[in-house]
Amino acid sequence: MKRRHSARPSKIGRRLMLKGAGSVALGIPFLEEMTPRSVAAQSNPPPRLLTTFFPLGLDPSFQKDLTGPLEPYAPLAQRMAMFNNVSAPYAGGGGAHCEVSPVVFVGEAKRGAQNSGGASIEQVVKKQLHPNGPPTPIAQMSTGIWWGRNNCMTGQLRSWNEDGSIAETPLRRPSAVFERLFGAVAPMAGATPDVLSLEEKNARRSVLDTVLLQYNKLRGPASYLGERSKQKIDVHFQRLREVEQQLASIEAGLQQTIGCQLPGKPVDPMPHRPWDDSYNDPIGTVQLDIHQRAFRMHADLWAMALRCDLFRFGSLMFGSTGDNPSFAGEYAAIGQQNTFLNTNLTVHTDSIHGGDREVARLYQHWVQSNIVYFLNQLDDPQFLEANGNTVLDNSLVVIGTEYGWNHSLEDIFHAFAGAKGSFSPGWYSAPQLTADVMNAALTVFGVPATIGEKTNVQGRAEVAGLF
Amino acid sequence: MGRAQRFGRARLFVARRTVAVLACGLMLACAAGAPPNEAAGPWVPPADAVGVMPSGAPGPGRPGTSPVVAQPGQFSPGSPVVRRLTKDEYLYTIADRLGVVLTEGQRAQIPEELSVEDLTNQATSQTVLGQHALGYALLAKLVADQLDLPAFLLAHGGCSDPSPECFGSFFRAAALSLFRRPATDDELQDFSQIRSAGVAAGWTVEQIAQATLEAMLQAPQFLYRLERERGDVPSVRAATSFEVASRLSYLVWSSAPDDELLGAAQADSLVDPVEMREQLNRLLANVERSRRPTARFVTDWLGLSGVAAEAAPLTATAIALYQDELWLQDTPLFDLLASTRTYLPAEVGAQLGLTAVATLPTHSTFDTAGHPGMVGLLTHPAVIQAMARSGAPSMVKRGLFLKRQLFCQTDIPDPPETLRTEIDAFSANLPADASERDGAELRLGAAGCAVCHSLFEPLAFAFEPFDAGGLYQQVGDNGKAARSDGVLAAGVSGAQQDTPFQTVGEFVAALRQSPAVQHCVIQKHLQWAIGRPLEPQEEPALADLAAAFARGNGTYHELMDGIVTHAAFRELRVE
Repeated sequence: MKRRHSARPSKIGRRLMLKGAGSVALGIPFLEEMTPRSVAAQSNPPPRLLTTFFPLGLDPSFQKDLTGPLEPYAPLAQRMAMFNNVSAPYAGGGGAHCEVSPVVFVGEAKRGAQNSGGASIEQVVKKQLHPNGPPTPIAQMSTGIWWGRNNCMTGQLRSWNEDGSIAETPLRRPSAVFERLFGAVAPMAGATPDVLSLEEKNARRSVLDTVLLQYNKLRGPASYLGERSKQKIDVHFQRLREVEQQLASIEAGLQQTIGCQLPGKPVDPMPHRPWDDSYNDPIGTVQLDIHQRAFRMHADLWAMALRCDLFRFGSLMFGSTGDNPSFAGEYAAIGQQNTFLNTNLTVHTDSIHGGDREVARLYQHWVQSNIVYFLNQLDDPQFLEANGNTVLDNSLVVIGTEYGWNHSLEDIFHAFAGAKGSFSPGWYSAPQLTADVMNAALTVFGVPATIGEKTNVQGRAEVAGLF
Repeated sequence: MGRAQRFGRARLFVARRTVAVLACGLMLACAAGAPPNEAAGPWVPPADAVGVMPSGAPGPGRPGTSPVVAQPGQFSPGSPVVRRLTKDEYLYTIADRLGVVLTEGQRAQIPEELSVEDLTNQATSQTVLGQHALGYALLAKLVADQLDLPAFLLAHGGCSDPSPECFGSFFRAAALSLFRRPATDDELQDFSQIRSAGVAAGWTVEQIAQATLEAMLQAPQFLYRLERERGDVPSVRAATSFEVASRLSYLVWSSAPDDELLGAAQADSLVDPVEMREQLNRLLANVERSRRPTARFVTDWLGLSGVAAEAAPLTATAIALYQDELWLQDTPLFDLLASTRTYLPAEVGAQLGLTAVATLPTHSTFDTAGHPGMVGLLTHPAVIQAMARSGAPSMVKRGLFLKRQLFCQTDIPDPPETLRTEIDAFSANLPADASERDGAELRLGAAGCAVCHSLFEPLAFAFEPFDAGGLYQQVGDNGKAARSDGVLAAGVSGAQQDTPFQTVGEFVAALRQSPAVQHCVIQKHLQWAIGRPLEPQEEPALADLAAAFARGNGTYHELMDGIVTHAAFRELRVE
């Protein structure tokens, strides 16, 4: 099947987009009932929770003000909460970055090196707000840029289920992110929506019905499968049901969304070697520009997909835990004219473990400037939602990292952005656990603050003054 | 000092420091978490332990301390767990049965497989995410769209009208191909709802077939290798002919049974070991298809996916070497460890001072007899790179790799973060000009370090002359002559006595004779074949296979024959 990928964005109506997703992916026809729905109508609490991770922590001496690495946040700071005294003593227990990974954005002590102690916050909120799955074509997203580290896939995992299993494996190549977000829709862009007869809808519907029936029989009491196999089939059945319900909900709420356009398919920037999708791409030298361009492609795709309401819960990474490439390229900021990144040394090993705080300072500024780029895409005033807010205003973006300085489990910087009116902006310097910060994120959505209960993490209660 | 030199030194420092940090964290974790002999108190290595593996075989419970060798016993199948088609199997099945080859972008709709014990075809690691459900649905639609439907219909019942009878003949023929067994009446009834709805909508027979195919490609009967796992009472039963057909074809081809194999299953002849052996040999003779799983297997087993992508041509030669030795040369499997023939890109061979005996567009063949550093598969530059995941040469990483891949011992713990201060102090005290071997010996000479490091670092001694690119060099990274001497302890190899070695050639020859290594190689293949880690009651199969292997020439064909005729492959537990 040939797909048409326009280099120029093409305006697509929400109806067309959803029809594309539905009919191409699963053959679901439009439902008879048309129930108008608005993202913006649900802006308090915000309908979206996004986590944004950056690797290697942030020196606590840089967490005091906006004159160092946090300087890029200055234009947004009046709308953000900065947590600069956060610890996670329960994240240790052997190993380094791989071991910390299952704790980030979870707040529970991990069950093991490969299993979290509970769900990541976007999963908790998603389940609470949408027990039958969110009303979007895609339940959740996890994407990011990373360069591999040892044999530790958890380094790239930011999205966990309640039982500690993986909720979503991340995508890395920008073109793969595009395919995931818009691949089902792209062939339909520009086409005239045809009017389907009831018979045609039923015929399309029968495809998915037949598929679901097969899974349902195999997971039921009359199945000829053993218990372990039935559980696996049941998971597959549930995944199909989630997709079905998401699409059905969408079709019930068709409406045009301002700013929703089909973007052109990005051409992956060519790194030091071809992209490796196996999650264990070995470490090497990476051009700064390649990393930044690739990340910003993710950011652009996310921003458009969020305008189109393709998903509401996700995790975007600027790197994996313990990312350890040798960056090549120049970067200058905050009055620091430096070529620190123009060497073959690694920021991770040579600068941070090597104790070079000046180099780390500039590196972290570069990191934060890219996260701010993402926030700015969400905050584009040209694309206001029905309540007059930007996408960022209607989203809670939780920014977080793995460590404080040099593997310290103290001073783990976190921040909230967006979620207009849901919390009091400012600096929060009282001692907190990551569990407390994660619970605060749940509170924004009115979800009970129960993080820590599963693994007996004794939190320090509510973040004073945040609400 | 030039810039390149400065960077080189810096990288060397980084490499050493990283290795040392990893090393001491590892040892302290091991010392803290797994004392070798609790009754005797903390273990202190003998003063002369440096560079020598402990030769005793400590008791069970310690990570990786005793050789694992096959023990005879009564085999019994483990608990069944359904296998989803791996991404490879899914794509090959669609290509072979439907003639549709998906593009790279289309293939990306399905997530990559996770691994258990380095193997990516294990049912126990197969997750089903939302990406899978959506990806399978999208690809089912794409495949159904791309298929030459008139030809497909002609080949599957020759249906030309949408009558129930005609649909039935189409569905049953398609199901035999895609579900790998005859359709049941229930299934025909279920899928007939698509026909009914299609007729009501005025669809053509092609449209009905297309929609039916779209559903079949998402159905569990296609995506999973379903077997009857329940019965009236718990028991063990032989796999049916159709189950054997799928097991055989996915093992040997990574794809669905072809028409001939399905025909044999329909005749119920695959329950006969003689007939099954004939089919096995027929499948193996299709070299194009039977090379597929060996490429994935050797990539998983030797961690070749961890080699830098820019070295892909080099990695491809390692895979081709493994495949050709098995398929064209019929080389005994263990001899691969010590063979004197290799494939390399021509320029790499020239760097090593080798003269090509044959040259193909993709690689050249070299006779390595007499070369001090090119002896067998383990010394292939891609494998050497895989040992350290294309990072700097590291005695620790290489030792762990060999312990894991050749001795199947994966339970050595990672270093605890809480000991970082001590680790850093140890690292800081390493002499600036210490070679990898020097560092290893210092660790092995320190009581706390040696507890764990003695288990794996001496395995890497023979490889010090190999640089980061996997090329054999006489001089090490500090300018000193690289050493490759050591002792392969009986307690590690499973041999009757310790085996001293002076060269990498002598070391790999000792590995080739090691019962523990042979056990591990057989275990990896059996685990690959059954698609999940072995359960304890299944381990006697390893002794059976080792014994059968020892009686023959030890070729890959013989191993496959041994596996598929063993109860481990032909039987299943019924709950």
